[in-house]
Amino acid sequence: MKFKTFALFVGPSVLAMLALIALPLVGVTYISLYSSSVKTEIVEVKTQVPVFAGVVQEVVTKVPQPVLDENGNPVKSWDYVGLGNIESVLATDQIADAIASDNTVDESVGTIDNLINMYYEIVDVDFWAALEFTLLYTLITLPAVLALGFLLAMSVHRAANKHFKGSLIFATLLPMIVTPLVGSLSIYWLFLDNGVMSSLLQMLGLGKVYFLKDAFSIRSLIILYGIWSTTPFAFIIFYAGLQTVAQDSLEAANLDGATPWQQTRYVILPHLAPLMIFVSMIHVMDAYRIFEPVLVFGSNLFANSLQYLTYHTLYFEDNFNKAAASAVLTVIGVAILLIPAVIRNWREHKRGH
Amino acid sequence: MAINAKTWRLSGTALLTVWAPLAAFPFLWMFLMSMRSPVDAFAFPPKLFADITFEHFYTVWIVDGFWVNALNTVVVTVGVMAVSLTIGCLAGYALSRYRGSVGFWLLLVALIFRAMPHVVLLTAYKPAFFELGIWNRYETLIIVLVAINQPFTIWMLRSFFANIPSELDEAALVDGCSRIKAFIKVIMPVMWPGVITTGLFSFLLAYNDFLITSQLMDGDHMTMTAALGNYIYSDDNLTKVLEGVAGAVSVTIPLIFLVLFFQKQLVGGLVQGAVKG
Amino acid sequence: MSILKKAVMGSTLMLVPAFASAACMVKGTGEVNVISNSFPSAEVAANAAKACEGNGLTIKWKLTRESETEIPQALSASVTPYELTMVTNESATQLQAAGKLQAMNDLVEKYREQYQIDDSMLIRFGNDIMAIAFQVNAQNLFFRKDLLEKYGLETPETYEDVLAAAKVLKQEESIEFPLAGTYKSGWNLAQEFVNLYLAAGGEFFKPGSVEPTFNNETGVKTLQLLKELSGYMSPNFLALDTTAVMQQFQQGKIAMANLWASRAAKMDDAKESKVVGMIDFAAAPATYQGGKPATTLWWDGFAMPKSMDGDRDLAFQVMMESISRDVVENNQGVTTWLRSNYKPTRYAAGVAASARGGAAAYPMIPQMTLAHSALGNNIGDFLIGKESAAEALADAETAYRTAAKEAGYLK
Repeated sequence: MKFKTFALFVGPSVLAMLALIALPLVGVTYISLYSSSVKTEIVEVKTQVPVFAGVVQEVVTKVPQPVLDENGNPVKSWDYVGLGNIESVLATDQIADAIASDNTVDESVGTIDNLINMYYEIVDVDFWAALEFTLLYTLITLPAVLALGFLLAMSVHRAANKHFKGSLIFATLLPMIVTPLVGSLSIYWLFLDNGVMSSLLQMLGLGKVYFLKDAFSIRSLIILYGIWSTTPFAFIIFYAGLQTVAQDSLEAANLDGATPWQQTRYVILPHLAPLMIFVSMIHVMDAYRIFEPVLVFGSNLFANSLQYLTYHTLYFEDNFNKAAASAVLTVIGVAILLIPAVIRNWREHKRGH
Repeated sequence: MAINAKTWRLSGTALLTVWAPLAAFPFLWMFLMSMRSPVDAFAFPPKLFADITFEHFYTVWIVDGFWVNALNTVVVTVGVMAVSLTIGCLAGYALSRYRGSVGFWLLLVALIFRAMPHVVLLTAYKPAFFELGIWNRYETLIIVLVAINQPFTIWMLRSFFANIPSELDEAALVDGCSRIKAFIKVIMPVMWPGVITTGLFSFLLAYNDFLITSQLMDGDHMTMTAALGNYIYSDDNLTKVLEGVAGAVSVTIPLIFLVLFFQKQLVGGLVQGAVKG
Repeated sequence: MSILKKAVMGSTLMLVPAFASAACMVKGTGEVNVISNSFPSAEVAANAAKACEGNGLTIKWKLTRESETEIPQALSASVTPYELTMVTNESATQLQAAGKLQAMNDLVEKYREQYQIDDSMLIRFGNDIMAIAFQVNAQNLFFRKDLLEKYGLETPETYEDVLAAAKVLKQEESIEFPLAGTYKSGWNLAQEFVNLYLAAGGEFFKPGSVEPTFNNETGVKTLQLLKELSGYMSPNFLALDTTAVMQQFQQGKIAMANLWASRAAKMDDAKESKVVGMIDFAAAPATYQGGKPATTLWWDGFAMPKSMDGDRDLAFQVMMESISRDVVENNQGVTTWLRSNYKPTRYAAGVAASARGGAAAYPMIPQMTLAHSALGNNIGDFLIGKESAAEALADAETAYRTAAKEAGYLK
């Protein structure tokens, strides 16, 4: 195919991606360098407020009021702040202070304790807490999803009954396909105060469990949701991979007297290795974007994620500029995460030529 | 060794018997809740049996006008699938046939775009679309979802096209067809399985999107999924919560049918992506 | 599509009993677009306005459940599609401070007689009437009167009484916890803090400035009281919002809570509740003997966006029609109305007692929202034992300062 034809064919798709992915990235970076607000001045204002039928309270205070231009419209300001927004998201000042004070005050306790304290100070800042949980979530779910997906694939592969296989794949596909928001809610409703799960555990004599009481339990639930909803993907991929294991190498292994474990270890796992890498790559990308379960389960207090943090700043705080700054930081994270994937593709590309 | 293999099989079956109900249980409970009055749905301890009522569905669909959201969902998903597949097929085909390294770089950039958290893009869309006055329009939402979905779509379609032997279109070219004619007349007719599978995934993206749709559209223009946000955020009474559950069930039912009818294509599509990815 | 929706909306509004005044007094023709919250009294108002349609007058009333975000969005457009918008004390303060509302003094004067506008409905910023309120809401004490009687307990008047009663009620086996509270980390928790802190005499800002002052001894004491109270609640307390607390009440699992008056009527709805008729309502408890009830009063009302391009006069008439004396007369039980012809029901007894006891109105200060959200995001750390009260308040102060700088209030 000639380059010109190629360009014509990919044109519309590339245009869409440039206009709505690449350009917004530039835009976000631009917005993050500015701050916007309505100009205010402190003015004494008497507010009159009803408190009940016929009863009125009057309050006179000095409060910020908008500065109006000659047409009576508020004056807006749009100022260049450079990396100011990013520093504010990272809370560099606050952390610098914390580190400085810890170093001077706590000579009595050991270095390790000081480091731990410093760590707590850092993750007390929303951004670092979000980063912490996003990474934690990714690192815990990844091996769990790979292992469970593999075991399920092996079990289905060995299961004899066709009907059983079919309905199993069906049940497994559901958590993956369902709207993530609905999936998160469906799990959340199980773990409410006195909900199904806590009653079930109580009936089994395990005592009363409160699932929404602290960071540990709420984070565990989000991770559980993560495993529940992403294992199916790994399962399907591994299951498909198992169909292509060369039968003769398995038979050869059998003749050599290899145990099922040895067969798995020396024949099947190496065969699935490329798929494991593929699943890991996709999983890391998706885990980094975790959003819906944090929206449903989390609060800033117990669990936060990078995508949720930006959403919160945009939606609840209505602060475009700061949201843009946390978006820029998120993108930097994506770039770092993708380095291995890019290198892998690059190598393959070179080999191909 | 025989015992060993048997133990393996047994433990596998055991794992499956535990997993399958676990995978499905949250849905079953959600379905049960949606059909109960609040006093039963939130009873302590939870009840296995209770009176059945469909009033939450009635309220959500008829009174709250969820059917409007359902129509919006149809408009948005059909629009996204149509546009996404059209421009995606063109690009996927070209990527599978072109040998230069621009193709590789394009796919690599697409991979990076695929990993972009959607909220990053949303942060730029919101002020820009407000300024341009084009928020809350179906066209805007469709084209945004198409663009977000392109990286995945072109990767997947490329691998489907790569499976079609290039002798086929080359023969057509030799016979005097133009590229585009060869593509439409010769390649597309054998491409349907790939198009259906990719279309399913485009559908899922548009159908399941909450973040972008809920932010770019307001009440009357939201899809069903985005409209669910009204129920989670509303700090209202328990009946309203159950209406939210009924809404969630309503969103889930079409997906269950989708899995029932298209299980093969879904699995096939994932595998295709994995093998070629 | 939206015409279809309007048609359905019209028919469903008929389900709510609302009796429009026999003769609608609106004069003029044209279209009026309204956006409002979707609670029952808003539906009543919408219904009353709709009854005026015809003779060249069209009213498009949008009831939304996402009013907190949808309304500010609609009002930031250069020309807003709405002529009337519903506001609360919090949102009106924000919108006014951003210069997005317009004064309605002339219209109030013109129609004062015709619609018998009560002075107590007018929300003034300085001399400007920026909003017209129609209902109030506040948190007040909900309690199981049967259980209090059983143990010979008086209705608690202070939080000391509440704690003493909770100690006694712990032995009651039918309930799981004596107390509950809307302590969900974030907005809800901060609201509880605001209630207690103001009633204890605390100030959020240095008078006449935006400098925060809530990081002080009273703040620490308030946090300690919150923690003490939480000891009698479900360990999940930081995840419980109003709806969750309501559920615990309705399932007979708790005995006392400080809840929004708007939820009171549902306690007697057998479809939701197992404790019909067993719950009574009183003023919010005070933080100390003889103190004022620890709650803040909120109002809901209507305002006119500055960026509208419709007919002000017509819009104003429609607004007044939707909250007329007749509407109040015919829908007494729906909410706590502000009009003078409102006769409080048993469910409003708690708000009435709180208001009479001198409970504070929620501060209508533009930067209050920032302080509220800074507190909501930080004081939870103290309640879970991660930080001391002083540290949590210091963090909240830092967060407030950052936000106030970004909003341009602080330099």
